[in-house]
Amino acid sequence: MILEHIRERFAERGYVANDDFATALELTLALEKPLLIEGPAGVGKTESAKVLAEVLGTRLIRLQCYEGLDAASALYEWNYPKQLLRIRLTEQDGASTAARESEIFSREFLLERPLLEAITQERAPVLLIDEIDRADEAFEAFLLELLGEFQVTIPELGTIRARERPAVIMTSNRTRELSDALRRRCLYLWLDYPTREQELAILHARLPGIDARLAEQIARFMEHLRSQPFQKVPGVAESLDWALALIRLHRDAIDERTLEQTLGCILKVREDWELLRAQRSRWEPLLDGSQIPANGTPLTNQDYGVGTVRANRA
Amino acid sequence: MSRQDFTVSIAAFTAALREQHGFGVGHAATRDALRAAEVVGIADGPHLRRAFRAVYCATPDEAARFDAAFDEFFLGAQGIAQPNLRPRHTRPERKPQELHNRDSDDANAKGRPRDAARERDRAADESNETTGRAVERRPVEEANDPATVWQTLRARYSAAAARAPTPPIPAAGLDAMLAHASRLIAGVRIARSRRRTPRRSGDRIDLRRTLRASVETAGDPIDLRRTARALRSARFVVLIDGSRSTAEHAGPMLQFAYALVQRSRRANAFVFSTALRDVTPVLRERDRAGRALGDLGEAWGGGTRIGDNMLEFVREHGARLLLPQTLVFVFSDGLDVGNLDRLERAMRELRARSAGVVWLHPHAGAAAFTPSARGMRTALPYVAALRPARDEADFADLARTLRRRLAVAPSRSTSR
Repeated sequence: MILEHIRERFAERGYVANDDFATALELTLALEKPLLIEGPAGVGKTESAKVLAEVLGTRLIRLQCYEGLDAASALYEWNYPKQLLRIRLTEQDGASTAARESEIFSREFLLERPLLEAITQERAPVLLIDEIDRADEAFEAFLLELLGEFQVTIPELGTIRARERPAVIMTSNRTRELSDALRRRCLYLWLDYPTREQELAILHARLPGIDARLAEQIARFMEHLRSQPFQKVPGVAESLDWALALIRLHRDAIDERTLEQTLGCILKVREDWELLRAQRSRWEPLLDGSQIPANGTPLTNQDYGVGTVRANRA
Repeated sequence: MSRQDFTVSIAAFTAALREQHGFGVGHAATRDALRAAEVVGIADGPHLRRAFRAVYCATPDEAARFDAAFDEFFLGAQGIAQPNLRPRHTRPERKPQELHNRDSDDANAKGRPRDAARERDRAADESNETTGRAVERRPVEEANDPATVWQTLRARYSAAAARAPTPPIPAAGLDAMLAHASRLIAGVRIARSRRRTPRRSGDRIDLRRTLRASVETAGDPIDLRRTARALRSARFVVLIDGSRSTAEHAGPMLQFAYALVQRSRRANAFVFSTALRDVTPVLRERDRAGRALGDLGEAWGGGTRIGDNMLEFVREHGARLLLPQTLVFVFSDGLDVGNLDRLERAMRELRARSAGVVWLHPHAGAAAFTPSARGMRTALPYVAALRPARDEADFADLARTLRRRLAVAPSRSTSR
């Protein structure tokens, strides 16, 4: 029941969720465990958290990871200028050191960073920890502690416990192997490139009014591209960009000239362009529109698909 | 199936995943799986499988193998794993596994009627209450010596069955090699981490600690506390040529690669001959020394296509492993039968995207050695150092001298 519900609510927002994805979300919400999503770039990992927040009608709190990210930028920091000012202003009060210290180290002077913010909300938010693989091992260890207990200890203030456990989604592009300990704390989902049918569903969901034949052609072409050893394999984001470009150029079918003109939408490395040109005989048949029925493949009930970047929902 | 049976079954499944498929799962996973089953219900098989996949898996590799393990366990004889599971050390191999499975299916269909098997299993189940053990009681007729079955299978199905066997990682002298690896890891510090740590003479002021100290002096920040960027050890990639001409000299190199991977989480190792194979997961396993690497397929004992394999490495793993702080070791004699343009392109890429390439040559230490092979001549301009790799002493030397050659002087990190 919940499964269908999740899928419908996601579909309403233009994100076609497949079974694996919906099941993983269902469990994340039910077991209150973080969900680790891995997969190639541009398949909709980050977008999924945004849509989940919309579906749950709650806040999305995002922590973008980078190398050297530390507790001060992720969890909390004291507002030093304000503290210094307060010390100056109350210099003549004659209060004891202890009293002054407890004053300037109170909640009033605390800057909440995303992680602390996520556990102090009245209503459980969606916490997106994006590209966790970019952070270093030390941060990973720090995160383990937080994800285990959902509580934070600030030496000057004491322990803060989560009122409501946030729904945590972590994404990784696998530039670095994550530690086993972190992986075992999470539910795991591998989000791969969509199949041709799924891609078709996504194209129609994101770009309503796209010519069925064009969509079919794009989906077939992308399916071929992803089977080839390119340096940068195009993701769903690329096919949506490409579709949008073709629509703007008023093309209702892809021919060779159009392909040359719009190649920059899908392949972004010069060597990949050369490889594509060298393989002309393999993809040329795909551009032959006569193989595709005039109205394209009839759309199934949008059962499949993995959504991605929001491309112009006007 | 009663609730209790179900719990027992899940526990046995966890144990089967752990012991036969190498998943790192335990009681916590069993508990989560039970909760997951409560959430999704057990009536819908595929749904339950998807739910369990999310719970039990932690890596893409596990996710890819999970469905087969699930089906085998729950759709085979009830709650008890089947015999003929492939031995663990052949895990990375894909094709023979399929053959193997097919073979076992046949065996099941013919020699071992399902009902009989189920009855025997049930009897066994009743005799033994503790479930974690259940999987170990599988019939042993063939599981006895998986290696034999394996070789027969290979001889039967593989066109290249005459390939040279993989040599074991030498166990002798391993301790010394581990010490050399540690020394290399500690010595070669190519980059600075972006993480800042407290340092007395750092280049930036740590406001938090400074302010904490200033409370004592009525808010006058007299005692300034500082931070600096920590030094970071390098990342290592080892590419080992396993072609016929170098394979027999590869023992010490394999041992060193094993030592490096054991000692550093930032080390990866690959072997190649006509194909490329990532052996990092195998080398990560403890107590691997003295045992062979397992079936490496076309990555061992064939011809040499250095350029092609390096290009494949760059393409498949470059984004993940080739970083400014990566040191690349290439072990090869440079006798490339492939296209030399490709070798040159690969070397250019490797050099441009890493801290440097160190070429380890099995014969470089010999008196009469000159790097005259065509492949060597092509690669040399891109190589930071050409070193011998015949025995332990060579690696000791490598660990000692590389530190001097590649360590970057602690540059004064500039503020962004």
